[in-house]
Amino acid sequence: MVKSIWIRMVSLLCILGIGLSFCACSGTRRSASMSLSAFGTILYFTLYGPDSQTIEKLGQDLRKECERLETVFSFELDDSDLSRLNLSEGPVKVPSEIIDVLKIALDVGQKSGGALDVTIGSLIKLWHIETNPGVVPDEKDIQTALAHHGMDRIVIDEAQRTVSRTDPDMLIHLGAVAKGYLGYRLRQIVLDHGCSGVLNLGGNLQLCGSKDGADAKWRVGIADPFSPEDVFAELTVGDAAVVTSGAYARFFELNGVRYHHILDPKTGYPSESDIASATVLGPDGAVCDALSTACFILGKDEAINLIAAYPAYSYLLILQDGSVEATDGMEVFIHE
Amino acid sequence: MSDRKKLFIMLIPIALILIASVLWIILSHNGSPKSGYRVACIYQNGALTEEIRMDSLDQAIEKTIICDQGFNRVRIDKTSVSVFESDCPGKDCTAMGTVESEYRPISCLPHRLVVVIELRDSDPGLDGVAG
Repeated sequence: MVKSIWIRMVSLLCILGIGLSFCACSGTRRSASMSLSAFGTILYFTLYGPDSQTIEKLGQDLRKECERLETVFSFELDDSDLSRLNLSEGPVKVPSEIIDVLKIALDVGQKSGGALDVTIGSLIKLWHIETNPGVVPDEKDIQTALAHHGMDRIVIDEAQRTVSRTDPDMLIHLGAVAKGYLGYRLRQIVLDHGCSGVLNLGGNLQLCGSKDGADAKWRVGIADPFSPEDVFAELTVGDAAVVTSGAYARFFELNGVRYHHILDPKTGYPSESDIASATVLGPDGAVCDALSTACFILGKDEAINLIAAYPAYSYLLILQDGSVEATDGMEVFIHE
Repeated sequence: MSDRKKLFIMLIPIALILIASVLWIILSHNGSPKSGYRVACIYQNGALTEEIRMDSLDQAIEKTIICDQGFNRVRIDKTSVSVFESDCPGKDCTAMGTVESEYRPISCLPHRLVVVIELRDSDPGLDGVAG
């Protein structure tokens, strides 16, 4: 009798012990933050994973990918793949990443009537607000630069993996799309490591996976374009990119006029519209990046029409008068 | 040995297993949400170099952070962080002003400096700020 009691008790307690062990193992996630300098800005990542070693390895792989893609997309580095393309004549073999980004840029460029234009590299070089603030280029130089742009001057041969510029004085600059693409690529690395996280790429956000490894969403703020250190609104977002374009991050003022970094390809000057900031959310960070730039330049009515051509994407426009336009059904909490 | 005594001896290891399991659960859940606190974090060249717990500050502190390219002066108080002086060329860091939100980094690219408020041991507020 004692033996049967013993057997029953041991069996019961083994089951209990195994159950308690599962309780102990589940629900514990580690987190870490890291920052690095790339793509002309500071990247800041908050990563969540099952253990410290996994997160550390993830951090190393993210750093490697950032450094690799910078050698592909940099306009400033003389030996980047993009610079090689800008300096060469005829078809140039390029990494597939350049073709991926150009295709997105060409699509958004065409649908936005040229508001997004990655062929204004000469114009951007002329203004170069980050390195040459406080100088307004000469009108003659602006017109010369404008004579050498146009997305129809890019020829892509996907089969050969080459890109040609039909105008040798036209320079391609991917600043409006590359950071979004970077976020999209880094997201896959985060997920491949079994982790999740928030990647802040100089103000572009790439949300990776879910907050708790299950289905909890992220709480994201949108900077106040009138007071950038404050948050204007909050959104609850899943696994997606959130990209905001605005004139408050990079600019200089001269004689009471603010000159910001988002140039209108039609005028050659910083864009002017009724939008103070344009935020686009969606599955592909490169598309979000391109669309937010185009929307900011276009203004409210044309921006809303543009986004309608991309059903998987949502928008939040903060207008110059402080009012808000957002995709129907988007839950937005506006800070008072 | 009597049956009672045998039973008692068998129960000892079982009780030990139970106690160990309960202790394991308690200790392994040290990352569970508790009432949290905010820390001002300073990153230089990508590495976290300093963490200051903000609720422990009775008055604002100022720090000068020097790198090969120059300096930044940082102010941290109970509720906010700011870079109030710098010799960097663009002055994007000082233009950022005072930041009170978590995960809203102030960056000085030429000096590779990031100053940011992070949450510890807490259900976080905002996870990030776009813009």
